[in-house]
Amino acid sequence: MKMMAPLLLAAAAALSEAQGLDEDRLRAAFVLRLAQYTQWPTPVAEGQTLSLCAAGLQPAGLEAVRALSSRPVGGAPLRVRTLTDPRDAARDCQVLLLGHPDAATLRQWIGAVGDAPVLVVATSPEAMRAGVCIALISEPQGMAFAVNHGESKKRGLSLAAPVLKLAREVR
Amino acid sequence: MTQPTRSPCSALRTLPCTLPSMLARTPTAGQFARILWALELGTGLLLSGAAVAQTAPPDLPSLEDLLRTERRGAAVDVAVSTASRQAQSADLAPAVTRVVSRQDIARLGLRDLGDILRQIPGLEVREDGEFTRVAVRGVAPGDFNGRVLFLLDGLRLNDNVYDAGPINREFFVDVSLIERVEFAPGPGSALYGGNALLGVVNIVTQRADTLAGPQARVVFSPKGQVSTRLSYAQRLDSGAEWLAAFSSDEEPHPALSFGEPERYYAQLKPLEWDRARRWLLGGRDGGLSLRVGGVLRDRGLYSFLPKSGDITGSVDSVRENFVQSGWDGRLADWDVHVGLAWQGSRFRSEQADDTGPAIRTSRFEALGRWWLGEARLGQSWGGPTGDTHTTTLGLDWQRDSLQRFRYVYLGEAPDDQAYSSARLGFYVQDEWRLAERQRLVLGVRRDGARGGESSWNPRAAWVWSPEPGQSLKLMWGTAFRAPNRFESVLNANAGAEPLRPERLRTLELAWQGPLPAAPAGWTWQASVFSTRLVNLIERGANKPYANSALAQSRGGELGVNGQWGAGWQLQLSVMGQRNRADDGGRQAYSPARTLKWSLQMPLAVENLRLSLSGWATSARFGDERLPGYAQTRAHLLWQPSRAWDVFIGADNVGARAYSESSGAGYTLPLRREGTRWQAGFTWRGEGP
Repeated sequence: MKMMAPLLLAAAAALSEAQGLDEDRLRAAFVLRLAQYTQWPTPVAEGQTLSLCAAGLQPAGLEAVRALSSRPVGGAPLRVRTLTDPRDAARDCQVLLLGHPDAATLRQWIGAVGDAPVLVVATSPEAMRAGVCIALISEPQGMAFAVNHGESKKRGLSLAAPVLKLAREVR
Repeated sequence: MTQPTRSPCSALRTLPCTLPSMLARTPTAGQFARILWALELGTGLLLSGAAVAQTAPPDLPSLEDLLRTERRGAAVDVAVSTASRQAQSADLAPAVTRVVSRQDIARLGLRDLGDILRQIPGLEVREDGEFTRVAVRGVAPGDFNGRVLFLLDGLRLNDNVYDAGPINREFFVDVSLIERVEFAPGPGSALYGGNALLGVVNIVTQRADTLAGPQARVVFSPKGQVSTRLSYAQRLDSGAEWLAAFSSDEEPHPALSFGEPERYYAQLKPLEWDRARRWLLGGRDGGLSLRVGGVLRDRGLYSFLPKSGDITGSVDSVRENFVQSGWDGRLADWDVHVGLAWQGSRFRSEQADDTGPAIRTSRFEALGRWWLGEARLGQSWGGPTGDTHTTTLGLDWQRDSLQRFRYVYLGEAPDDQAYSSARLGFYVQDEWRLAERQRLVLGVRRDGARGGESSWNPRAAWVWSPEPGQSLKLMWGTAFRAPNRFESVLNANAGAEPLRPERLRTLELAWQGPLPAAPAGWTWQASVFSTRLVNLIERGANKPYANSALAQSRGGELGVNGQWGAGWQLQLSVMGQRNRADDGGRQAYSPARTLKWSLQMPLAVENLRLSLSGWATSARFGDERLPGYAQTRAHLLWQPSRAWDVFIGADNVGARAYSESSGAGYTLPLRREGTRWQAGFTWRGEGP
C-alpha cells in the first residue's frame, strides 16, 4: 500500500503548463521592462533608435537580449550593440547592460560613461556598490532588482513610480 | 566588577543556574526507525511527473509578473552576503553559502527558524525541552548555540550573558517576515570575531516590495496553537520605506516532553503553556536605516518542589529588545558602512520553593545590556600586472554595560552578581582577482577584550569559478570563542579553574557545478572538511565547566539539486561525519550520517503547489543509544491571487516516534511522536 501512494500522488500531480523563463530570457525581459519605465532627459527623436549597449554578457545572455530587440521602448525601436571597450560606452548608448562579475570592472565602465544620461544596468551581485542605476539580483527561484535612485537622478533619468515601489531595495 | 557576599550558583544545582532552567525528567526509550518511505514517495513523483510542456509567454510580462516568474533551471550568481559581509556572487564567495529563500519557507511550510535551519545540509536542530540547539557537522552548539554566530540583517544577536542564539519562539521576527536565511559553515572569526566558531547564520528580513500594504497571517493547529502576524509597510515615491509588524504565537498545551506516564497528563498539562509576542518597527531612506524591535516569550512548565517532590508550576520568561541604526554609502571612492545598536536581554525563571518554613517563590534572573558599533571601509585598486584587489577594513566594538545574575526569594533582598566589559575587533581582508573568475582571499582579525586574552584569526580561500554556476573552493581558517559571562561566573563561584577560549582550525574543499549527463538545471555539490577543536567548553550535570581535550571532526557532503519546469525543485544531500576526542570518545549524540531532501512541485490545479521534505539520521550515542529515525513533512499551498495564500501541512507524516538529544551535558533525551498539523492563510491588501 505504501508503494501505491507515490503513484497515486503522481497521478494527481499532472503536468502543469510551464510559465517559467530561463535565466537569460528572464534577465532580458527585466532589462526591457525597466527601460520602458525610464524617461531620458532628451526624448529619442522620431525616426531614431534607442541604443542598448551590452558588455561582459555570456553569449546566451546577449542572444536573449537581441531576441527582444524588436520591441519598442518609449515608442522608439531598440538597437542592440555589443561593446568591448569602456570608452565606446560614452557614445550613443541610452542603456548600458553590464555582465561583469566584479565591482572594480563595473566601475571602469561606469567611469567611462561619466554623468551621461545612460541607464546603467548590471547583473552582478556587486553592482549596487559599483554605482549602477539598477542591479538585477539573481535569487534561488527567480529574480529581483535594486535601484540606486541617487545615481539615476544624477544622470537626469526619471524612473517611474512602479520601479521604485517594486524594487527590492532603493538607495 | 561587584561581588556579593553570597554566591547564587555556589550549590551548582541545575536550577536556577541555567537558562531558563528545567529539572531532570525521566525519558523513555524511542523506537528504531527505518529510512523514509516518503523518499520512495518523492522518487515516484519525480519519475512519473518530470515531463513538462514548455511554452514562452505570448507577450512580455509586466514588471510585477516578472518578479513572480519562476526561473527555469538552476540559479547562477545568486547574491549572498555572509561570507564577506557584503553582497557578492555565491560562486565567487570565499565560503560555501547555503540559502533558504522566502519561497522555500512558504512552500515547505517552515514554521520557525529551527525548521529553516533543518533544511540546510550539515545542520542538525535538536530540542531537549529547555532550548532548541543547532549542531554543525556533528559538533554540538554548546549550551545555547554560542558556537554559531546569528545575525539579523547584520545585527549580532548572540546575547552578552550566555552567548545565546535563539531559534524558536524566542527569535526576533516572525518566520513570514524573513526574505532569506544564509548559512556559511566553517570558521568565521576572521571577519566576525567570537562566536563564529562553527559558522554564521544571517537572517535577512523582507523589504517593502514584498510587504507593501496591510498584511495578515493566521496559522492554527488542531491542538489549539495559534500564530498571527499583522504588518503594514509602505515605500514612498521618494524610495524611502517604513514597516510595522506585530506577531504572536501561542501554544496552550505543548506536547509533554519526556514520555510522562499518561496517568499524570491531567495534572501536568494545565501547567504547560507557551506564548510569544514580537514587534518590529523600521524605516529606511537611501543608505540610512533605523529599526527597533523585541520579543517577549513566557513559558509555563511543570516542576517539582525541591523538598517534598510535589508537582508544581514554574514560569520561564525571555525579554529581548534592540535598537539598530546604520548607513551605507560611498565617500571619496570608499564604500562605507557604519552601524550602531543597543540591545537588552532578560532571562527569568520563577518557581515555588518549599525548603523554608513556608512555600516561597524563588526567582533567578540574568540581565544583559550592551552597545555595538561597527565601521567598514572597502576599496578596489589595481595591482602592478593589471589584476585588482578589493580590500576591506573593519572595526567592531562592543560595550557590555550590564551583565547581572540575580537570585532572590520574592519579598526578600536579592543576591546580585553584576559585571561589565568591553571588546574590540579589527579586521582586514583582501580579495585578489587573479582572473575574471578566480579569487584569492586573505584575511585576518584581532579581537581583544578587557581583562581577557586577545585572539588573532586568519583565513585564506582560493576560489575558481570557470563559468557561472560552477565553483571550486579551497578554504582554510581559524576561529575562537571566549568563555561567556555565565560560564566564567559559574566556574569562579565553584572555585574551578578559569576557562580558556575555544579554538578551531578548518580546512575544506568544495565543488559545485552542473550534473554531468543531466538536463540543464541539475547541479551537484561535494565537499570534504577536516576540523581540529581545542579547549571545547563543556560540563556534565551538576559540574562546573571544563576545557576538553583536543577533538577532531572530519566528514563530507554530497548533494544534488534540480530545478525544472515552472517551479519543480528537488534537493537531496547526504552528509557523513566523524567526531572524535583525543581519547577516542565521540561527541555525545552526534550522528555519523544524515540525509536531507525536499521536493517542490506545482500541481495540475492552477496556483496549487505540493511540497514534501524530510530528513533521516543514523543512530546517536551518548549516555544511551538513540536509534536512527526519519521525518517527513508535507505542505500544500494554494495561491489563487497575489492577495491570498491558503495552506495546510503536517510535520511527522506517519506519526513516527523518535528520540533526540541536544548533547548538552545536563539535559536528557526528548521523546516526540504524533503528527503535527497546521493550516492557515496570508492576506495581502493593496498598498497606497
